[in-house]
Amino acid sequence: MTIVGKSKRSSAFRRNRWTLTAILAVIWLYTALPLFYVLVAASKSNNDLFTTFGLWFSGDFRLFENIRQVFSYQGGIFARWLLNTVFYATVAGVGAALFSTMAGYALAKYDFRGKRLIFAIILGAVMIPQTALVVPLFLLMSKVGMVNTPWAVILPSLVYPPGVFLMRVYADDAIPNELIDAGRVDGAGEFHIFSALTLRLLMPGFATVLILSFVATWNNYFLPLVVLSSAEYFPVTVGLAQWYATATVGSGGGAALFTLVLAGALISIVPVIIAFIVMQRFWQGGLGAGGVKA
Amino acid sequence: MAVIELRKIRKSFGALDIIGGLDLHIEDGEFVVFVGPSGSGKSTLLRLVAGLEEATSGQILIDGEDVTELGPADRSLSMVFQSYALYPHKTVRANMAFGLEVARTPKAEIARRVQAAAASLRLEPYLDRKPKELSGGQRQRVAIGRAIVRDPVAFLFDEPLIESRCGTPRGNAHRDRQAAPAAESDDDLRHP
Repeated sequence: MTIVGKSKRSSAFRRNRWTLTAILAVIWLYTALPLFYVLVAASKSNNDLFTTFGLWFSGDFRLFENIRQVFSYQGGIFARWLLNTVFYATVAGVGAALFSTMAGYALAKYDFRGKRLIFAIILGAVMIPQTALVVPLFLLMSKVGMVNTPWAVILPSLVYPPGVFLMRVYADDAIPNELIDAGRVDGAGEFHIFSALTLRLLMPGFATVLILSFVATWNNYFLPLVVLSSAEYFPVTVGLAQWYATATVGSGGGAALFTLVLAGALISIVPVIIAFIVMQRFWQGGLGAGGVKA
Repeated sequence: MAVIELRKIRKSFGALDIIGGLDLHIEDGEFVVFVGPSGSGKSTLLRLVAGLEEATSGQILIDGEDVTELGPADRSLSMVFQSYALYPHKTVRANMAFGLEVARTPKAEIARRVQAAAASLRLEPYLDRKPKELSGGQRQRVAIGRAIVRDPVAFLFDEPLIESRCGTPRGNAHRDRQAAPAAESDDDLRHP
């Protein structure tokens, strides 16, 4: 097979490649610079933070000292916040991915009354910003007495409309109808077919939704800020923001918190990076290869 | 082994009549082939018999029992699909065993039947492979093996044989055939 088009040596190809590389470089800088800044700033003393150049290390490298302080300040409550965040993000991420997968599969593969309306409502929900829902959610939660409990963060995070949309499209594509029919002729019930035959084919989509909803809950700030009031339930985002507020308002003692906030932010990024690296191996295409004739 | 009987079977999708009042009597052991152009309802007819589609009206009887309202699980039929529809993440062995596991057949019995089917289809060397590691002809034999092990009352073939049998592009010499060998009585195929 020959590929007709621009050859590698043509000037048009080179121009294209240079443009693309330049655009990528800009995007890379845009993403990497803030991360680099956090790393640099978290390694400084509070004094150096304001007196030395922001994008390079000062002579005094205090990263590990700062991290130690983050975990000991206020009786080590930071560790508690970090565990809260891990717990909320894991439960909400796995739950949201599972619900999205089941809903997307049902919308893709079953015919039922009201299917188009339901899908339209889900599409509409994708366009509503989470922030707009926080106040009504708070009112609902307070009616059922769930305010200031972990449920107030987890339950709303289980609903992830973009995941349903993604999984519907993915299931449509990844699962041949005859595969489901083969399961039916083999005598399996619908849930058995889903759990034993088709869920495996949906795993790349499941992994994608899992990481997206995990990160969405991990980064969520406004919802936990509104529905939680005890520091023991705070996720890292709300906890660090509270320290930051103390630092800006604070006189004397409070000011030392800036480096703690930055070191805390650095620590809170690490698990997300690990999650991405771990999940990467599930993003493999072609899982369904060979099952049906091309 | 079974007698399959269709009485005034109608199937329409919206305003479109696919099958308009079909009467058919298939004897035990009879081999029946449906031939017709694309879209004439051959696949639909097989899917109606299998229970994968609901008839708009009419009755389907297997051995005199009205199965019109029963789902595919309760009809004891096997169907081999046009695309083979193998379970891509399962090995050849697991593909063939799945239906028996669903039916809670004892493990030893499953192993015996899978072994026997694999032997008659010359699939023994491939039992631990996944479908994507097989050739087209081998996949086809796995699909047939999956139908055999369940010891059904009849086999429904939705033209899975077209490709490798005649070796010609589809739609050429053996255009658009579907076979329903009801109550296939070929005993050395079923109980080798």
